[in-house]
Amino acid sequence: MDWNVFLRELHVLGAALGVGGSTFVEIFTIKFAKDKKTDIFEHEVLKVCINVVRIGLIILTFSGLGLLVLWRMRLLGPDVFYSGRFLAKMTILLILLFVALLMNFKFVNLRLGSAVSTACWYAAMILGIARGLDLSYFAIMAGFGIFVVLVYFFLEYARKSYLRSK
Amino acid sequence: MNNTLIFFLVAHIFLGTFGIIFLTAYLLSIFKKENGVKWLKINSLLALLSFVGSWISGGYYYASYYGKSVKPIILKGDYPWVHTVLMETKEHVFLFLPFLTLVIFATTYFAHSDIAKDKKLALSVAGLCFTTVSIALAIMLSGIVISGAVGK
Repeated sequence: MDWNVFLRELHVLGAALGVGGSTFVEIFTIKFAKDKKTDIFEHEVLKVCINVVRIGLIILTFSGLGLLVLWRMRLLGPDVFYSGRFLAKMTILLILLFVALLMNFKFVNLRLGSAVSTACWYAAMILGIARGLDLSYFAIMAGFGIFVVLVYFFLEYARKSYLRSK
Repeated sequence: MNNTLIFFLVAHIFLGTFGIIFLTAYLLSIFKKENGVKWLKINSLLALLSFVGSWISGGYYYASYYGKSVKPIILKGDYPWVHTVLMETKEHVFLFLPFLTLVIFATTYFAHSDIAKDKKLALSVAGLCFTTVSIALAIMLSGIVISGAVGK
């Protein structure tokens, strides 16, 4: 197995852990919200899921940097590094990191921060899969903005529907 | 690029990223009571070592390869501002990182009991840490943009 394949597989693994972990954080947050308090067990479950997301982010970052080194050595240049898809992925990763910090210090509403974080993971995954996507950076980021709003309202709807059903 | 240069380039990138991760972990745990100062000390020390390591490996790569082989390609290419603006900024601002981290490390080691008691001091250290992480991230992104300017 060459470095390219190894790093790509790690990158996919990191994305899978991040997307899966953030999805389960949302599912369990909604499920545990029914009694409006978090007990020790629920707290532990959420902590495990958040740690899975963190591990996913670290794997994704280092494998991504490894791929960048390979691209740099192959002199792939501006066609790859300055493409709208790549720049959008970098921006979304930065948003993910800053939202995590803002949520930690409670500078942002937890539901909003959580929705943005989940949207970031799904958007990064979609951009990773959509290799042929030939859109400008601003078009992708505008689409991402709409996607964040949709994810927020979808999660709010799911939360209210679940609480009504109980 | 020979294997030694590849090693130094990879070390520069990975150690810099580790520095960001350790400082982020420091930032996330500074107001937590249950972990205590032990992890603050470990994270600040590891961040300092990472940035110093990244500094040395980056310096070697820059002095022995970048200036002779990469810089002329970028200056002749479509994006000369990548060197004249980003690289020039990066190589000067980068000098601050080990010293900023040293301040965080020294404060954590010599004033850890004050950090735990004095919220104003903890907020100041957190602010410095956030600034250092932001600068390091900006430098990392500059590095990616610089790498992207080198094409066939």
